[in-house]
Amino acid sequence: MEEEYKKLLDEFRALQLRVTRFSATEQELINTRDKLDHELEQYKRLQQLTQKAIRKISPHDLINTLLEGIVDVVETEVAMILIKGPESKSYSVYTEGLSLKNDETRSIAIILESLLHNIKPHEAFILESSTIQEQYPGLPFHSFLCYRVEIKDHRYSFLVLAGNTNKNAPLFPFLENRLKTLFDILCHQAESIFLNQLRSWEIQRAKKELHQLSFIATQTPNAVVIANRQGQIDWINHAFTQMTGYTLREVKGKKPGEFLHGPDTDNKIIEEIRKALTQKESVEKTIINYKKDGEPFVNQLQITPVQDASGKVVNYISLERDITGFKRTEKELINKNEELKKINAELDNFVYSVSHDLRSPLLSIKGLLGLILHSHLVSDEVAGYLKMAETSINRLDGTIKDILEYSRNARTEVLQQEVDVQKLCEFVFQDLRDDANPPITLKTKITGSYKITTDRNRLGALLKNLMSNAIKYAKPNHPDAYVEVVFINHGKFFECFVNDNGIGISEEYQSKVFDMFFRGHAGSSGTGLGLYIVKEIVQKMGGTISLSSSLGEGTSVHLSLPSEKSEIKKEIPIR
Amino acid sequence: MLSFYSASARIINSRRAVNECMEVALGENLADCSVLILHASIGHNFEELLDEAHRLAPHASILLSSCCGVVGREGVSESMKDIALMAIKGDDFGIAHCNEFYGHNAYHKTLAMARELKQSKPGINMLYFLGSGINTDNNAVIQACEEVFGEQVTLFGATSSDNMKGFINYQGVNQHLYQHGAFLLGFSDPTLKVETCATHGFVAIGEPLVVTSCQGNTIQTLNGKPAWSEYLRRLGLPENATCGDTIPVGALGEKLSTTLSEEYGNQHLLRVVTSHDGQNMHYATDIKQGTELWLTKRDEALIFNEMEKMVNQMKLKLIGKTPVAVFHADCLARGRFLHNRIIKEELVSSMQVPFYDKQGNCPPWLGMYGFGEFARLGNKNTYHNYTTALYVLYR
Repeated sequence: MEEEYKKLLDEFRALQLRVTRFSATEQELINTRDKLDHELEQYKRLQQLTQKAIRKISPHDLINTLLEGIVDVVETEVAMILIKGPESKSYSVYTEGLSLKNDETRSIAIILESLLHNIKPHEAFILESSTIQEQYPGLPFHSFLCYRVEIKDHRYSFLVLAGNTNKNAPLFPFLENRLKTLFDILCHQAESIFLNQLRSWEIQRAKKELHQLSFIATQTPNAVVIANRQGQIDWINHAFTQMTGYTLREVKGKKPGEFLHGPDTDNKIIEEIRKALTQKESVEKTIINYKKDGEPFVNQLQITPVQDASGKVVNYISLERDITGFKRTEKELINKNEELKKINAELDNFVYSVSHDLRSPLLSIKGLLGLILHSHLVSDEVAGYLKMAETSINRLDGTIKDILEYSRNARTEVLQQEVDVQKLCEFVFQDLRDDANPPITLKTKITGSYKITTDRNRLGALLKNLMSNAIKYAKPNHPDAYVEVVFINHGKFFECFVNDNGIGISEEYQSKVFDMFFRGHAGSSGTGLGLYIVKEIVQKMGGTISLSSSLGEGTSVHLSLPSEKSEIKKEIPIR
Repeated sequence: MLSFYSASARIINSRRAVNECMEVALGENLADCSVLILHASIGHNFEELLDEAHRLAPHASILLSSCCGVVGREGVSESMKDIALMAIKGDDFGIAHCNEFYGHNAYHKTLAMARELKQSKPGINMLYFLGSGINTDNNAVIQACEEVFGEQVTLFGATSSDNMKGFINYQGVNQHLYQHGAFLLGFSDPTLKVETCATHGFVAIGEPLVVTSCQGNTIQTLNGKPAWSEYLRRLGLPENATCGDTIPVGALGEKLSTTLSEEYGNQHLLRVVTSHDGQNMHYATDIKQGTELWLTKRDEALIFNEMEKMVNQMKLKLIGKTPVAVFHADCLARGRFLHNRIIKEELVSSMQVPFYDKQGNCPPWLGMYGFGEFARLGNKNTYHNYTTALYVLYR
């Protein structure tokens, strides 16, 4: 009995185990069915992704859709796309399911670039954990699928990745061949979609560009002519009709020369145009053409041959403009300018002659006055009047001398001579020192070579004017009055500072001192032309001038002048 | 007075998922809510989910749980990228949360949360609990809550999960993301009541396994043998099987009293093993030596019948009342690893349709596939596994 019970119990236990094992087997079947159902679901998602991706209207949208689609279809934790641009250093990294900081993105991109070169294009690969650790340790993946896309013209490479991080890999399906196949199909489809979309975007862009160009061609005030490879007109814009009077119907199929050329059209220019176009070169010419009503006009045209990818000319585009009015105006302007130059030259000569002629009688009067004053024939009262007359004559003589200086500067070309600036300073100062009251000292300081290549007379005139101002406006009774001339020779140019410790110039007058006839002091014996002439000379020599002064302390004038011929700016002095 | 709004979707990008669900639930004014409860499949980026929810509703309290799939008004979905949310407007609530929540400290951690909650918000009359579903003691959770709020307070909710791997699960509170956390949401709206129910539809088979050595929620030996090996042997699974393999077929039944069996429609209350440490199995609640654990087998006819019965009973209880929101916890083993998609959708439909209003609108619904479910049984808070549990909030 006991034995039978034991046997029954054993049978019961065996049966029990069979039931539970049946549950496990049944579960395996459920799992397998679920796996198949799920695989079908993944392919449905792939189909949905394809439909969705096709509708995307921008590359950015398409990439984001693909990233999300990869995660959805392949069911990995992360999707990543690296896009490498035509320049070797440009890349973009897009991710879904992984937040990266900038520096992380950079370091990952560098690793992915190397991976990009190591795998074959158009084929999916699985990179296992061990390979990643060994070859790409910086990548934050436990394992991943990858696929390289090459755009035909080799301008862009894409690396598409779907993977799981070390942290979350156990949660996600193991990357087996089934998923590789799915990923491979997805990437192939994505590649085709991307290429198609790329073409579609290019067409759209081209259409848009064409629309814009057509709008510009239609609306531009310039005439536009499009001719075929034989040079026969295909299209003209409204501006062409307005310019010439010819409509498209009248000129279509004709060569422009057939109806635009006339008796005054220069055959030499026609030949130059023909020659350039034969060599597939753009050409820009001005030519006399004739309107429909026979009126000639000056046509400024630019003809460009349009070539296809093989370099064959398919069209000629000509942009044309009626510049008859402009040419007329230009001619008038040239004539007027010539006239003005002539008048100016005559004026300079006149000023020079008059000044010169005026000076001779003035010097005679001055001499006579001197004789009378030294003869003791007149009373002290009359002598006083005569001295006043002599002062006025001296001032008038100064003015005439300045005008002559100005005229000389305007009329004569700038010369290049070797000048010893130390000697020149001393020479100029020698002439002026006798007029100095109080006595004034000359200080010179020269950095670099004493010899400078410049216009000796002009530099002398500059120093004379500036040193003469220092003497004129020295502080009365100053025991240590000085004028300091500093030269710094830089080789291609030199700087010259003329400094004094005179009465200085009030700040309000400093901006006006270079104006013609400006005199900063009521009792000044100057003509008001000195600094104006200085400015004119500096300008003629192609240099710059500036002044700084402090009332009661002195003045410093800074000149910067070229010391080589090549550095001289050929400027026409402004009158 | 609290009001409820829900939405669910399968969206890949975590930020966009939150954004779109909030738009569906709340319309244009996304920030106009006090609490956001998010359930999301384990494939989502949980930090991004919390961050985006906070960005969109900076003044709302955010509660988050990982799961294996979601159920919403929009239907059921079990993928790696599901999300469902319940948005709540109003002030009648309190929240407490904790991290490092395990079987050995579940009681003390829950007690601290319950006390904090009671202190922060008076008048709490029901508790929504969500905690880590791996290595925890859910009886301790019930005990601690009842100690503070009394046995009559209804505790409903679930335990978080991953995709049935028993590898990791997440809980989030505001900007904090936990892997072993828990939170309690206490409702203090006096106009609001809750009915709970749960059913499984499994039948016990053969002789029970006897717990011969255990500590807390850890079973060390079964029938005097190392627990994990004995469990696998009885299931007919190989030694290298994982919890992912045992969960669908390894429901363990604890025998109920006759009275409770009648109410429950089944003689056994089921338990799951979500993780093991060598031979030590982590049970879902504490367990005593000598406890008999039956292996079980699912019975599809019973599953449907019991479901229908449960929903009808619930409907009878709600006559003359208006459901304002339904929280729903389902065992992940009842999802795609138990039924095919069509049967599962039928099941979900059969539990939702009875709660439709006269215009045919489903009430706000937040459901998830997790490791376990809380529901009252015999007028007592009880923890279940392998069940469908419904929590209908009504006025």
